[in-house]
This record gives sequence, C-alpha cells and structure tokens, in this order.
Amino acid sequence: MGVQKINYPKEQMHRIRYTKLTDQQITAKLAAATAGPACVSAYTDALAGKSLHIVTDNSGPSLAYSFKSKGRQLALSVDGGPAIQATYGALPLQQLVLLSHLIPGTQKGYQVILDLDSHLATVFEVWFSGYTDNREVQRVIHFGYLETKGAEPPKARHSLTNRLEGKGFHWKQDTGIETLELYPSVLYSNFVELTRFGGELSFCGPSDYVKINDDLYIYSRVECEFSGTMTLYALDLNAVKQVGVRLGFDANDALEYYMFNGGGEMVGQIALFEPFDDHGEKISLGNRPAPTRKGERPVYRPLLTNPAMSHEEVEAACAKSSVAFGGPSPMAGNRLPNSDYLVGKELTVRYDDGGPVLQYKFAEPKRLQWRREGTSEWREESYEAWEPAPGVIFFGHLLGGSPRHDGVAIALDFDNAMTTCVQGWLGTPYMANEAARKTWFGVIEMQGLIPPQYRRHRFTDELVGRAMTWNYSPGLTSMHVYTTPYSFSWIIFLPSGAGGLEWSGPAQYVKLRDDLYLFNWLEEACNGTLGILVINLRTMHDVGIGYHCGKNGLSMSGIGAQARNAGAYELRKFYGPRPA
Amino acid sequence: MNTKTVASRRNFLAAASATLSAPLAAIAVGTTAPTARAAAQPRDHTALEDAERIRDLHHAYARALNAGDYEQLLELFSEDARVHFEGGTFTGRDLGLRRLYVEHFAQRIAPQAVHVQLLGDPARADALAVAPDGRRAAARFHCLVRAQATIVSSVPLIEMARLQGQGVAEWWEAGCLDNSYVRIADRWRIAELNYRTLGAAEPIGAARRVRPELLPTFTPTT
Repeated sequence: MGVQKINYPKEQMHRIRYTKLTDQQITAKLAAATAGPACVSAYTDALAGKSLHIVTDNSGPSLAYSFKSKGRQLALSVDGGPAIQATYGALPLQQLVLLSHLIPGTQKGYQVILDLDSHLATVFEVWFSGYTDNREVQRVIHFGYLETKGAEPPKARHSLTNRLEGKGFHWKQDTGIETLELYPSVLYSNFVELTRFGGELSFCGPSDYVKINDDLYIYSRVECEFSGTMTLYALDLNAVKQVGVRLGFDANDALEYYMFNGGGEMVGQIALFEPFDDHGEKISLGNRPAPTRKGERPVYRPLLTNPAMSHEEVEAACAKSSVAFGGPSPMAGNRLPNSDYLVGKELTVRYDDGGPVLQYKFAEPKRLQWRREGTSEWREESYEAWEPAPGVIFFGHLLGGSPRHDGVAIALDFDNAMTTCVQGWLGTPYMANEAARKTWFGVIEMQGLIPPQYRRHRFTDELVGRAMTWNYSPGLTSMHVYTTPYSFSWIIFLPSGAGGLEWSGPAQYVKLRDDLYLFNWLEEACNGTLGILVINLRTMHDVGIGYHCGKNGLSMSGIGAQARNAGAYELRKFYGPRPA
Repeated sequence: MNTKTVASRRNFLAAASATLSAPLAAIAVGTTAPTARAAAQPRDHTALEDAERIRDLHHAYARALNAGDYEQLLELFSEDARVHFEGGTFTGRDLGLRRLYVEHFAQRIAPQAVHVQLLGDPARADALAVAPDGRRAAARFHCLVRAQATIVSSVPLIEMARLQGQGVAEWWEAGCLDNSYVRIADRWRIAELNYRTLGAAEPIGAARRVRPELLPTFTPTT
C-alpha cells in the first residue's frame, strides 16, 4: 500500500464553507491566545527588560511597552491608558524585531516591526469582528518611531512601496509549511499553498507592502473570502529570509496564532507598468469613494456581486435568454476579425474516450448546422469563427436542446487534422449557475484530411510561471499570471499602471502547436464563467469565448485582446510531475 | 456691429424656442450688450433683472448637476418641462426628467454623476433673451463638460475595476444648452433644455473613451 506524500484537502480553499463565527465564538476562541503566539523556533530576548515608547503618525496610537526581563510578558499602555498585561512573541531579522501580541479579553492585538537601527516602527493594529464576516482579520497600518528621550524624532518613516511589486518567492517556514507567494500588485498578492493545499490552485488576498530600506520589507495579506487569516512577515531580499506571524482561524475554526522563521528563494521578477519615477508610496484608487470604515480597503468579494443562483433561477434565466455572440463586449474590443474559413465545409470532429462526435455543415459565416453522429436531425446555431494561427480555426456555439445548456469551443488544427474541444455546461455541486467543463482531444474527419491515429493535442505546463498583459478594449487591460498547471490569476491595473485587484480560478493549458495554446479557466465561486482562449505567443494576440449564465440569461460571447510579455516566474519545478 | 450681433442672436433664439410667441429682448451674456439693449427697450430694466435671475437659475442647474443633487435639480424645471439629451427626449418633471436625472444619471456611477462638471465658459457666444411680457425667456449657454459613464458590463474585470475606482469611461465635451424658460409664480423655471455636444476630447492620462455601445443607455419607457 502506497503512502500519500501530499495531503490534499477534501475541498480546495474556495470550496470550503468557512463557519460564520459569531463575535462571542471568536472571543471564546481567542482565550487560547492568552499564552501568546506559538513558535517552533526560539524567540529573541532582544526586548527583554526594555521599555519602548512608539509614537505613530496621523493620530495613530501611542504605545508604551515595558518588557519583563524574563519570560514573554509585557505591559502596554495605549495612549497613556492603564497598563495591559499580555504575552508576546518576538523574532529578529537583521536589525528588525517583529513583535506580536494580542490584548487579553479583547479581539485586538498588535504586530509591530521595530527597526532598532533607525528607530522607526511600523505598527499593524489588528482585530476581529470588524467586517460582516467576523473571522476576517482587519488591520490598519501606523507608521511611526521609537521615542528616544532627549533626541529629535526621526523625520523618515517606513512607507508603502511598489518595490516588492513583481517579485515572487518560494518560502519554507520552520513549521515545514511551503508556499509560493507572488506579488504582482500593490494591493493584492497571490499564494500557492504547496503543503497545506497540495499546490493545485493559486489564491489571492488583499495585501500590504511596506518598505523599511532597500533590503528589508514588510508584507501582509488577509485571506478574505476564505478563512480570513492574516499572514504577516518581514523579509530580507538579499538573504531571502523571513520572520512572520499568522493569525486567524483555520477550516476547523481552530485558532492559528503562531510566529515563524522562514527561508527560500526568489522565483523571479516580472515587469512593472507604473511610470519610472513612481515608487508606490501612495496608492491612487481613481474615483473610489474615500474609506469610511477603519481598516477599509478594496477587496474583491465575487459572491457579493455574483450571488449564487438556484437551479430554478438558472432555468428561468436560460428560458428568458440564451444567446450566442449577441452583442458587443468590452472583453472583445481587440478581438481578431471573424474568419470565413469554415464556410462551405462539412466535417466531423471525433473526440477520444467517449467524447462527443459532432457533424457540421457550415453554410454561412455565422450560422452552422450540427448533429451528433447517429442522429438524423440537424440543428442550426449561431457561431463565430476566428483564425488565431494559419490553419487553426477556433469557433464555438451553444448546443441547443441540451438539458444542461451545453456549449462548445473547438480548436480545429487543419494542418494536423487534430482538434480539441472544451465542452461547458451549467451546474456544479456548488452553484447552479457555475460552469463546469470537460476538455476532449480528438481528430477532424473531412474530405482530404487523414487524421493521426495516436497523436493529439495535449495538456502542457509550458505557460506556467509566465505573466502577460492583455488589452481587451480601450481602458480595459488585465494581466494574467499562469500560476500553477491547474490555475491562473488575473490582475486589474490601477490608473497608475500598478497592479490592483487580483483573483484566481482553476485553469487548463493545452498545447496546440509551438507557441500556440488553448487555455481555459473557470470563475468558480465567482460569477461562474467558463472562458476559453487560443493564445498565440508569436502574434501576442488571443481570441476566445466566454460562456456565462447570470440573471439575464445564458450567453456565449467573444473575447479578444493584445498581449505584452510581462516576464515569468520559475515555478514549474515546484509542481511535481508534468501534465501528461 | 453690435446691432448685427444681437439680431443674429435674436434669430437663433426665436428659432430655438418655438414656444415664444412674442418678440424677445435679447441680452448678450458677459458683454456690454445689456447696457445697449437697456436704452432701446422699455422693459429693459426688468429684463436685465430677469436675465440675471435666469443666469442664476442656470448656475443653480450646473451646481446641482455637479453635486449630483438630482432632486434639487428637478425643482428647477417646470412641471411640463422637456429635456433633449443625447438623442432622447424626456417629458414631464416627475416622469421623464426624473427618469433621466435620478434614475439614469444618479444610479450609473454612485456616488458620482454621469456628467459631473458643468463649467461655464464666458468666452463663448452665449446669449439670453427675455420676452417683453416677462413671462418667457430663452438662452444659449455654452459649457465645458467633464463626462463620465460606467462601462456597461458584468464581467469580473469590470467589477474589479469598479472596486478600485475604475470601470468608468471619461472624456471632456464642449456642449451647448439651448434652453427656454417660463416664469411661474414669479419664479423662473426651465421649460425646455436642449443639450448638444459640439466636440469631445479624451483626458490626458486617463482611460481612452470606450466604444459608445458599451456606455449606459437610457432605460426604455413603458
């Protein structure tokens, strides 16, 4: 009997139904934090016996600490108030000390990064029950300094930065936990849990990036829309070391509060798109209203804007409208021109392993007839076709009459008589309006073509690690980061060109030819869209199809964008065996 | 020279406001014309006061529009007012105008309006004329407009862009308002507003203007 080396979770992060913990439950669970954070490494005694007064800017808190000479006890006076006793943990990194503690009896605490050389300090004030989902850690960042009696306060401060933007790391904590963490944005980051979640999918969380000096930085993220856990660490770019803290509740609602040391390697850096003299000290958010809630920041919450639909609602929406290529879309402003390559042709696509066998007659540029092999009735559908590379035609249509409202997106490689089909349908065990998909490999049967017996298009990881910008329409550009062999992330740029909000979804990568890929993704636990693209790395242009059901009905629409190369991370070695 | 200019404006204003049944006393805005006209017309003193109040009304319209105060903006119109805007005609203060301003403008880009900056431009050839009976008036006001509109789409990229203050098309327009006014209970109100775009430009450094079909359209009447 084999021993499984990777403990895959029963559900990936976006499928876990994290408990909506009540305020009282959180208070009760935080009682376990009275003993301070856990840590498998030895804490530093750098603060033992010392008293520190941290002054922060912009009406932030004044924190007067007194650390016992032995043990991990501290006394804290906030804004001159009565002293609070707490247990803390502290880890060093060069001249930095990361100090972490909660305030007993409350849902609040502080993560403090002290720079003992410059006497600057950055304070992350953290708390629970500050958002609808109580378990989501809230934070506000205070920049300040360590007061030194008789000395002028330093004028410099740590600051927000874009100097980490674009970088990516493999981290291994002293706990044995390994992650890939990519920073393609100044607001978000991307993480792949290699140990805890088996490294299948990447996920994203709103993040903070703070510059201490050219070598040392602070990073934090909160796993919003998932467990709500905060991960915060100081990192040394040259040594590739980290000291950090993790605070939150896991999938079993157990408190996670521990500090860690870690090391790793830089897996790459991708391009930045801000003006060259923009160093990211301020993040401009366009027309977004000013925050009204303490700690408020932009967070993409896809199920808030795309609430799940019931099966009945999906059926009603599809009955109301099921349209293929019905109108303009901002996702298709730069799509390729339609191709009439198929007009006048009759062919069969035959997919392996019990896949569909579909017969086609293409009489017109945007109308086709199809039937399943063995049936007599031809059905007529709207379609659109494009030629993303010479001899490769990509087209799609709805499979009218299908009880699951199926649609297909098909790449036809006429030079090799091979075809790949991504068949989509509505309904997963999780959401009725969420698309599911199956990718089929097969051959084209047509007069004049002799299809191969064994050779097929195949799954690939050749794109994994790459980052590319995609300009869909004037003013609408995103960046894809192909993060794992089974997922990818997309980032929306801020007006400055910096990376902004980011999200991830499961994906598949198929190699059609050298530099030509059929890529599909699912917006699971999101708006349920299935997107299918043919990416041509020579022309740096794609063409694709979106398959989506919302309250207005089922739609199949065109996608098209022009690309720029944004660089790559070296990630493939972390994902084990290559896709077949 | 001055007489010719005034006559030209009079012709335009008569054509622009078919509801005016009597000759108008024309007053050029921002020029020396009011003084000249005051000497020529028996009602000029009152007409000048009326002209000032109509200009105040126009400025109140601009302020309400810029502030996104659409309920206040509706109060500036007569009950049976009509608005012509981008190919649509909206009739009735509590029906058509409410649909345009409260439903269309206000709800497309919360909390900002579709058109958020209506800037007066006194250098242009504005004109204003009050009927001799003091009950009707017409005016042409040029303006510079900073226009914004949400991109109509539910795709996640647009949703995410909205969360970070984007997903909005933005451009500048030079526009012209050809309005008619009516005095009701000694208070001037807008009876008809006709907005025309004279030219548009994209702001430097901002997103380029999206294709018109991706901008919000008016809701259909039932």
